[in-house]
Amino acid sequence: MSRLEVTGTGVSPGIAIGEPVVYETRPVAALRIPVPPEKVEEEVATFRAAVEETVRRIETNAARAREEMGEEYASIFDAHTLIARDPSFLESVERIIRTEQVNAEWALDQVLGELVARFENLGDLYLEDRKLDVLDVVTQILQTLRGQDLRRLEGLDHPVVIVADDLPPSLAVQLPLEKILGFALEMGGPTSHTTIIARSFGIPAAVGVHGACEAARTARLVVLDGFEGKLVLDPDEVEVKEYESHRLEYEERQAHLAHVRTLPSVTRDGHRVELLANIDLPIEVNAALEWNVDGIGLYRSEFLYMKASPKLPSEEEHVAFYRELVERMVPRPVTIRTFDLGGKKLARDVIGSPEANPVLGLRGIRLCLAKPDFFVTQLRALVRVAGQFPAGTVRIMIPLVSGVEEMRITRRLLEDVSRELREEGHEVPANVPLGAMVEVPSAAVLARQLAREVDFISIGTNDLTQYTLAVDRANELVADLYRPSHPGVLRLVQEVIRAGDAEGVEVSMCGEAAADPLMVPLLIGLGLRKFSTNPQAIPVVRNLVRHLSYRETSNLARQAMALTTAREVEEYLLERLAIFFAKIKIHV
Amino acid sequence: MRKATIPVTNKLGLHARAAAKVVHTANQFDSDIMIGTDDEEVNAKSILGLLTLAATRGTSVTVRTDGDDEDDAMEAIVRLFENRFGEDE
Repeated sequence: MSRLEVTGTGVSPGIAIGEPVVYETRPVAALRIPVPPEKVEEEVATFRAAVEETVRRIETNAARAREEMGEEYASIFDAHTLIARDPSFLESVERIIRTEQVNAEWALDQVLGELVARFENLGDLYLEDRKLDVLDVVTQILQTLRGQDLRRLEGLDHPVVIVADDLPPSLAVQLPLEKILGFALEMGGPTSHTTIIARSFGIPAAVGVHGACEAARTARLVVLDGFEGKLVLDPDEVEVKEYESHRLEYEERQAHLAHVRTLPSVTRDGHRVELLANIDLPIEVNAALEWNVDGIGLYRSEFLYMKASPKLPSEEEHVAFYRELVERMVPRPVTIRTFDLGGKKLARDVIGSPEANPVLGLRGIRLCLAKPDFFVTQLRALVRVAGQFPAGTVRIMIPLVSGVEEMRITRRLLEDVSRELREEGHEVPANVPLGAMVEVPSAAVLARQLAREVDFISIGTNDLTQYTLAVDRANELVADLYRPSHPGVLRLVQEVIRAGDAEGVEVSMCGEAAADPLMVPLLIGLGLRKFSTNPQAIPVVRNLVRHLSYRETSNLARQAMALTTAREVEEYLLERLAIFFAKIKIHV
Repeated sequence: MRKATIPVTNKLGLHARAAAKVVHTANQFDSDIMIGTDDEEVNAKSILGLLTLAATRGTSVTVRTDGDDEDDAMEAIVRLFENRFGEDE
């Protein structure tokens, strides 16, 4: 094997060195893998298990179709079940596994080829549909076989590097993460869900690594560089050693940060900065508590939606879920963001028809207000849970607010829900803090007006940057233009912080900029006092805060705000902070 | 053994849902049940076989039943074809 390298974007820092496991969701030629004679029956059993699992999945779909579309439509799934269990089909696949002593996937692929050839010889238009039915079922079994491979990771005696074309978050959350050294994905972006999962578990990851799967298919050893976004296949010994020392160095640096765990987040001149955690998954509460956060600044409730999918979570499911989360954090505040669905995220099930421009479409609060049933269920649950804890512990945050109307409607809904719940005999607090996420430029421009309608504001810099600069950062052609340090974005941030000060409304930031060592001093200088970041970034930010002085950062901010391009801002910050970063061992 | 020839009269021919009904019916009997066209003959208890049988509207199929319950089996299969598998056209 000779050395090969493919590059994408690093999205979760760290170095992973290990054997690759390739996972592809797109149709792909099956690999013929010899199976030792004593394992042949095991392979047959694996195939049968995949068939039965597929049948179970088809039956679940059938039940749903029956409910939503009627018996006649559901009967197609009955045919699919019969196809999956067809005796001649099963017999053909099993015969190939046994006589050729090969893996189930290859055998299945061979049988699929024969079936397709038979249909092609028939060549009548009506018969085309029959071919599609057969293809559909066999593909599902193939996917189950591949999916099982990923679940089989649990049985591995050593951890591996996952190389995939795409890894849907629903699958990523099922993976045994302790067996995974790193992720190299061909698709995905810095804010895609799988990236967030990797980062929150401290697993190195790179996205946009084109050609990774093909390259890794024959590799025995890979190095994933989560800093540079590089996947190196079959590196030589010298290179492995270099990466190994790079990895150790990074781990030491991380260990060094451990000492700030219990130290207060106060600047050298005595300004207290609150550090909160952004979390997606309940398990991340562990890391948040470990790093001694001041609370949860952003809980992305979409996980609950994914977990309940294909159904919508019930009110009781919401309640149980939030209660467990808040119980672990109390008395620290927990800010729960209502479902931020739509855009590219998870919307298909809810919206149905595809939108031409989903990022500017029915998402965030817009989707919630368009589907009030679904929103009211969540609000009811949040108010119920808020009633079970001290006032102010549970806070509700609304995503993608573009002006004051949406907050007024939400406030009214919240009041209706509270009244209803009180009548039903639930404990309902006098006031559940309601906040707006500022990520649409209009909301930032109108920050003063908005501040009068809400109890708190959180700036979401990822979307704010994307919408202000009209840049989709997952689009490689323009990704370079995505700069939270752009003066246009910084002005809006400054505007929101000032509006909060003027109206006495607390302002925090929950975008990625809040964890960027270059941006933190500038933001403190602009007067920001609440940072919400992924739990792993907490010690870095705390260490940084403890070495800064507000007086110096406000001077820094004044100078930076006088600049006119993102590049000037970045260069200025780097120049001013380089020595300081070197001294406190921060890697920019 | 019993043998009968029947025409396929529904619009879509022996498509997936119709074939599923044939399989379910055939599975109620112990007899071997084969369905064939001029070109080939397939097991009526295998949906894949039925789907690959080029039985479109207008073709005739030959049904063979062989076993203890061959009479009942033949009657049930013929009835299914005559009822156009419960379809309107």
